[in-house]
Amino acid sequence: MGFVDQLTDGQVRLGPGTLYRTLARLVADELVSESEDSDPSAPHDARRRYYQLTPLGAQAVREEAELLARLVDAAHTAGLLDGERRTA
Amino acid sequence: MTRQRPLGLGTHIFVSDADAAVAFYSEAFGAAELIRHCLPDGRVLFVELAVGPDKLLLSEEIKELNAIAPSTLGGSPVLLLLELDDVDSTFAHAVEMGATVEMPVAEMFWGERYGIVRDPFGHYWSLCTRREQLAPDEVADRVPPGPTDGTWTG
Repeated sequence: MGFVDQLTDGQVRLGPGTLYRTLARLVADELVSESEDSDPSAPHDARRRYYQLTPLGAQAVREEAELLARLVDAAHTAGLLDGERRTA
Repeated sequence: MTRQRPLGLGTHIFVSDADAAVAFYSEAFGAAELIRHCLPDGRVLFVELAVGPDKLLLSEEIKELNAIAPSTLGGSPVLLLLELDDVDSTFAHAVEMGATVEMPVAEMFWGERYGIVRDPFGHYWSLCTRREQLAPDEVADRVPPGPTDGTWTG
């Protein structure tokens, strides 16, 4: 949650309720699965749960990132970012 | 006071049997249960279901909270809209699972393949698949004279 806040300068607020719903939805769609693995460097907390991308999730997130990259590239080309215009 | 642009609109329905309703909506309409809260007496205060990109809240009938199910009211004035890639298979499956046909699936003049069922809990669902992307003028040209003269569907 802190990472998202930092990454987006507070523009995207990912509260615990939203995070829980998002994870439950990703599990239902078989894009992530709950993992038995734990992070040995993290402080022990019985409530801490770990998730990992499924192969389907890894494919979906890559395709989504590629689509977003193409859209951002188009925004660059159109001069929408920082007033700069790139040649395609 | 300035008028706000809302952040979203959801649907909250009441049913006589929450567990049966969640099972039906999951199997028939692809809903996924995300969150559930119960009252101390065990009645389901609400279940949050994800249905495609949207959410559906569902509560068990709790008369003290004015949460009254269609079976108690004797009907429902609300139609829930569910858009699908393949309306026919979902419609047929819902009927196999106990939904009642209110309007068989047919090609509609507004460019959708569309039908209506009543689920086992009394809620009405229109199921549709987009077929044509029509401009509003094109739809206006196709509107049949009226719903009572037998030309409304097809």
